[in-house]
Amino acid sequence: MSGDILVVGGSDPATALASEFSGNVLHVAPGAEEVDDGFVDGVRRADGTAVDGLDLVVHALYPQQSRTPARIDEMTESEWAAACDAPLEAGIRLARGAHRHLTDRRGTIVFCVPLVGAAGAASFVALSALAEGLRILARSLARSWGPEQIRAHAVTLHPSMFLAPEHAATAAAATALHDPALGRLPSAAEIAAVIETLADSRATAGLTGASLVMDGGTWMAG
Amino acid sequence: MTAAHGRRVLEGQVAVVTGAGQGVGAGIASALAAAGASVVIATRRAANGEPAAESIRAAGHEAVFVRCDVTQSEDVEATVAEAVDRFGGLDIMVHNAVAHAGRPGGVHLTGSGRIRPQIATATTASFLCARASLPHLRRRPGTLMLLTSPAGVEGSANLPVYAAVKAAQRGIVKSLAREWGPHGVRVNAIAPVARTPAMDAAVAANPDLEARLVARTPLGRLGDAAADIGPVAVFLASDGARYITGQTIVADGGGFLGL
Repeated sequence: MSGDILVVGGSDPATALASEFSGNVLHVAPGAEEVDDGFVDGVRRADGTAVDGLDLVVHALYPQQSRTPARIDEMTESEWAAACDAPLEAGIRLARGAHRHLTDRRGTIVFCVPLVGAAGAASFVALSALAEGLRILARSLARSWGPEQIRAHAVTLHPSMFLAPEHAATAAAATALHDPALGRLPSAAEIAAVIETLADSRATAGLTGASLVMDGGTWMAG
Repeated sequence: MTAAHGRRVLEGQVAVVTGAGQGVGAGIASALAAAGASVVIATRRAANGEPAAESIRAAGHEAVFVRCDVTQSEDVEATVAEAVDRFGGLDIMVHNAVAHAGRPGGVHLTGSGRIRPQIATATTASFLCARASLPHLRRRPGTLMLLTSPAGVEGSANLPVYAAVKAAQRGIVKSLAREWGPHGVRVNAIAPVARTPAMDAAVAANPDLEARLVARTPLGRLGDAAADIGPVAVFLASDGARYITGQTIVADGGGFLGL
């Protein structure tokens, strides 16, 4: 797509996706505590100019604490806050700040969420809570911003897109995720293409509030 | 209403119910007590917590009020300790307390100060309740229930932060069910729609709300906290639900049919 795209989040999948989008990509990797209501207003292009209108916002902001396995009875309050509460608030505040920039372009916001939210995974309770919170936030945004033709979606991805290989294997085993039906997981390029399609008003203007699972057919619930 | 099947199926069990001073929490607490459980009413304010406990005692059941701010670790730990000290253990932990969502509207219109309290009362408190109760629930083994909402499944145009935190609680339920299953501890959620003081206030502010809710409800009425929602909690706590974990039971008269 030939629009302005803001990708928010460090590490994968944000980094991998940012390199695959075809528009004018702004990739930022703030800490969760840095994302306030004015965060999007403060984003600058490479030439130093401020963002003024966005066609697509892609959220994939998951702190390292969210991606690290921990049993809930072994977590401290500050660890829980860093793994769940702070990034959940950041997602909400990112959406608040993005609204103004999406309005004129009739843009789209997409939340990339790990499959552990929908499927559950031992030792990833905080990540699961964060993922489900963001997934349903997308539905709420779709409902309330629909009249402005701003669309919102969640794209659910395999845990391996978010977690270190050893942790992803643990999560997959604990979640009883089976092998993907397609025999492989989608590439970042394939995921980016789907997200761009979700933002393409010619192709998907009638689609909003979707929870799209893009995992090669690993999880087929509902 | 004495229990899910008219029997004291929770005889000898001990329950903590947060936010049980009124509304759904009070309904669940009274239903658990009527089913035979000794109940700790855990609320921030004695002004509604003590009367709720007294109401249960007046009906011939066992209940005690403990002051508890569910966002404070010390309060949650002390509440669980009080239940164990007074009644000899803990079988049922119900986290129902909820923060005020503020004025309805899109997420960009939500008062900035309304965001963090809702997160704290939903996700932080769920974590605190889970962590504090696990050592005791493992011994029985017992069960943890979180009160979520249909909004936490289908989203909400006017209560987006509320919907997000209620969805987050469903995520907690699913992963905790997997984490605690090997201990025999079950974890489930209830997503109710019921007449509560909060609902009454919303209806007062928006007189059309009740008619719209009823119109989308196949059973044609709003739920009653004690008679319609309480028995769901009794069932989930009972041996009849011993093979049910990680689930969200939507108790809304059929309004949401998307699962």
